[in-house]
Amino acid sequence: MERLYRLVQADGFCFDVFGSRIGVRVSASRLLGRIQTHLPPGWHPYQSPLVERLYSFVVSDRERRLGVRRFHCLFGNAQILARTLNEEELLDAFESDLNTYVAQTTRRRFFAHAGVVGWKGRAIVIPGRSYCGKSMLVKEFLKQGATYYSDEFAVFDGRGHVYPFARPLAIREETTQRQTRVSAEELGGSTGVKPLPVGFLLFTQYRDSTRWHPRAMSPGRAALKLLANALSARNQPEQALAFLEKAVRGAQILNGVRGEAKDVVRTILTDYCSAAFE
Amino acid sequence: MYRKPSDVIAPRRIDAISRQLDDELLVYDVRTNLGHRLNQTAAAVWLACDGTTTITEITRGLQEKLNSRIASGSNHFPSTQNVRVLAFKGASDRTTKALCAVRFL
Repeated sequence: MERLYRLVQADGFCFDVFGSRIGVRVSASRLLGRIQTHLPPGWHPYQSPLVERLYSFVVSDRERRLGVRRFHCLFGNAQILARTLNEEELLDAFESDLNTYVAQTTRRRFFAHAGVVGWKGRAIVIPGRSYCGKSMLVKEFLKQGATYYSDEFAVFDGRGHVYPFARPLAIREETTQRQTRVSAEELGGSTGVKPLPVGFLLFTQYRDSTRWHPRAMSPGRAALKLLANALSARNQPEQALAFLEKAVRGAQILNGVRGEAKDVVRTILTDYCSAAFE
Repeated sequence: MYRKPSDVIAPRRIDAISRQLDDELLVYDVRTNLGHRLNQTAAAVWLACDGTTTITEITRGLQEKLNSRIASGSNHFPSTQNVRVLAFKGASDRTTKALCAVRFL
């Protein structure tokens, strides 16, 4: 740790996000601005040097030499998290590890993998891990006038309300499956600010050429499926169940495989949400 | 000393967290990291297993509470709709089988 400390004395800062205190040290001050663009929403600077987790960025600023590869490294405490020639990959690894750490350890909030949009004062939550199509659904909801909250995490508080976690949407290209980041404003939508109670839970997975025939689901089953998408269930199961119980109460819950996002979203907003959310 | 299955005391699970949600009981098994959803009948069995009550007493109590016919069998798992039987920590194999033998008709 002492050897690592000697490498990252150029600059650093501490911040608090959802009650977790994180420190960052860098070997090159120019990185600080870019690091801050990869922090979770809701972070704020924190003055104390005592932190729970410390990230160290060791980047190589030396001139390139033929036959010599100079890797950039990211450490979480004393453990190496990434070693790459590309600084952007380093920052992506930092963002991913930080989000996971905060989601697993925070006691103020409960994180579940889900897309979230706001509609008439209620949250529409679409639980699911990667590749289930939730970003496409969120994108379609934005096009039809919903407010953007997240395409990655649903962040619940003790009342069961959902907070924004508004990183730019990660939209996958159909042919290459490469992700590009797009803001809600670029899609013609707006980003939510205040927490919302859950009005609608949609458990679904995309399947080509499928018609959507959803079925109602019980709150208990919905809570278990949300638990399966949670990051803190193993560390804090009691808290997770308490948060989820509040979140699913009173919400409409549907489950079913879907086809094109446009048709599903239109049906949800007109048939299910319009009357229930008045 | 041999004890009849119905006289065995069902131990209380201390490694599981439960939470009532409307008419369902959510149970999280900390040992296996699995979540379970129990309907009213299964939840009644779960809550009755408190470490002091025998199988016979549980059966009698449930019969009165649920107003259903309950038969005690031996050494076989029940074919009960939506009931999932959890193994009990520290329980002997005989205890587990005895508890599982409560059938709901």
